[in-house]
Amino acid sequence: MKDVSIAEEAMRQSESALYTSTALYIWLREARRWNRVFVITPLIMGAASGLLFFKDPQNVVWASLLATLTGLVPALRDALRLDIHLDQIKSLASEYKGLQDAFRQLSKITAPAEPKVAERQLEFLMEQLNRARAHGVTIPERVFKEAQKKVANGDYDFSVDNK
Amino acid sequence: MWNGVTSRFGTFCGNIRLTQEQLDDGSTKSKGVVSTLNRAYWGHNDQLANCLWVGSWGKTTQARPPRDIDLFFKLPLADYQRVMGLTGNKQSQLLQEVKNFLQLTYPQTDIRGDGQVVMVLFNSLLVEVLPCFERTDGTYLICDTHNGGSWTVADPIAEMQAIQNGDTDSNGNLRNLIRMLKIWKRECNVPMKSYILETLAKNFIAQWPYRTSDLFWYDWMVRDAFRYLVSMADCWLVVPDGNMVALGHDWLSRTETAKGRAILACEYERLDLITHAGEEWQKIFGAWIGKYA
Repeated sequence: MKDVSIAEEAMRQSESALYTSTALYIWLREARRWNRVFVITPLIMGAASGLLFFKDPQNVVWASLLATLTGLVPALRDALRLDIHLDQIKSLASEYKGLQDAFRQLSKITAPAEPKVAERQLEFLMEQLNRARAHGVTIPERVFKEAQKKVANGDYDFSVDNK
Repeated sequence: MWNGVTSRFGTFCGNIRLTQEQLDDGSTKSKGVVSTLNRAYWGHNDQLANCLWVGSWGKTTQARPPRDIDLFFKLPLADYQRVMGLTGNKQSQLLQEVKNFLQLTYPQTDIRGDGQVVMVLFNSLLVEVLPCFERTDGTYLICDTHNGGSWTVADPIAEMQAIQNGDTDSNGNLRNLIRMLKIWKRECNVPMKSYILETLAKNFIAQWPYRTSDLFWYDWMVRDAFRYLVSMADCWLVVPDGNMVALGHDWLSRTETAKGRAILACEYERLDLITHAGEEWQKIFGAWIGKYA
């Protein structure tokens, strides 16, 4: 592969990794929010159930309903494997972010200076990228659209590149 | 990145290729043997006629230090009729006859007949002579003294051609890979026959995407070759003469170890941790490969 096309290909992959990592970070934020909801909600409901009962033992129906939900929410969290997904999204987000930078450096620094090394580096990074892709994590469409909007707004532009 | 690879593997490949002196020594010894047999069977003492180097010398895949030279010696067809007229184990008697002719020229040298070959044990080298009869299709009949004696069809030309084609298609990388793998086999006592290793290396390189690359990619070539070998455990392999060979898995654990080390060494090479990489490579190839590139 010629060094010019290596630089172009690397830039293309860097851009692609930028969209993916941005989407993953947005998704991570969302998932963390849901995780917090699933952790805090049973605490609040448990406390409310106790309060209702101690305040008036006649409230047994509402108190038991809340107590049931208190037990149900963590089970739901486990069933949705939210904690596992959080870890996976977190590690993938940082992986894509790293790849984005590595591809950019390859395009801007290595390819023009050391074409031979650049060719190997591209192959190496493509291998890493394929390994990341193999996780098969599907980012929700709305999250990806949000990421596109963020990138288009220039949130990730560097002033040095705009000079 | 990868600053040490070209020089490390360039030196390594040079270290394991036979020296001119070793090549000359092998050539001289085989010429002596051929000359003796030509005198006995063909009535002249040509040093090259009726001889075919097979095995690693025929395929130019020999690694240092040289251990043995396998050579086919073509016998006249009239001798086939004569041998077939013998009673008892014909093949064993033929090997004995060849052995006796050689013993006349080399009275001080240990010469033994074994299975398919007559072994001439010179001090520096073992020459294995396979007396054979050429068939019309270019294959050869060789002796097998086991189980009362029989003839086996061998096609060394196909083997040599397969390696030559693979080497040409890979820009000369196949023979280097084979020599490196042979060094690994020897250093780590891998229980795998050389011709199987050669066939596997040939099959691997045919599908390796960077096969025409230069020394700069050799660390990956070795790593990916080990990955390929591991993936071939318990598979069947078609060898160049068309036979199917069960690969088994006796060699698997050593190959997996080598693969792990090669992966680590490649990562060190990428990060230019040259000495660390050298240490890992040495666990695979011994002192034949440099620690400091």
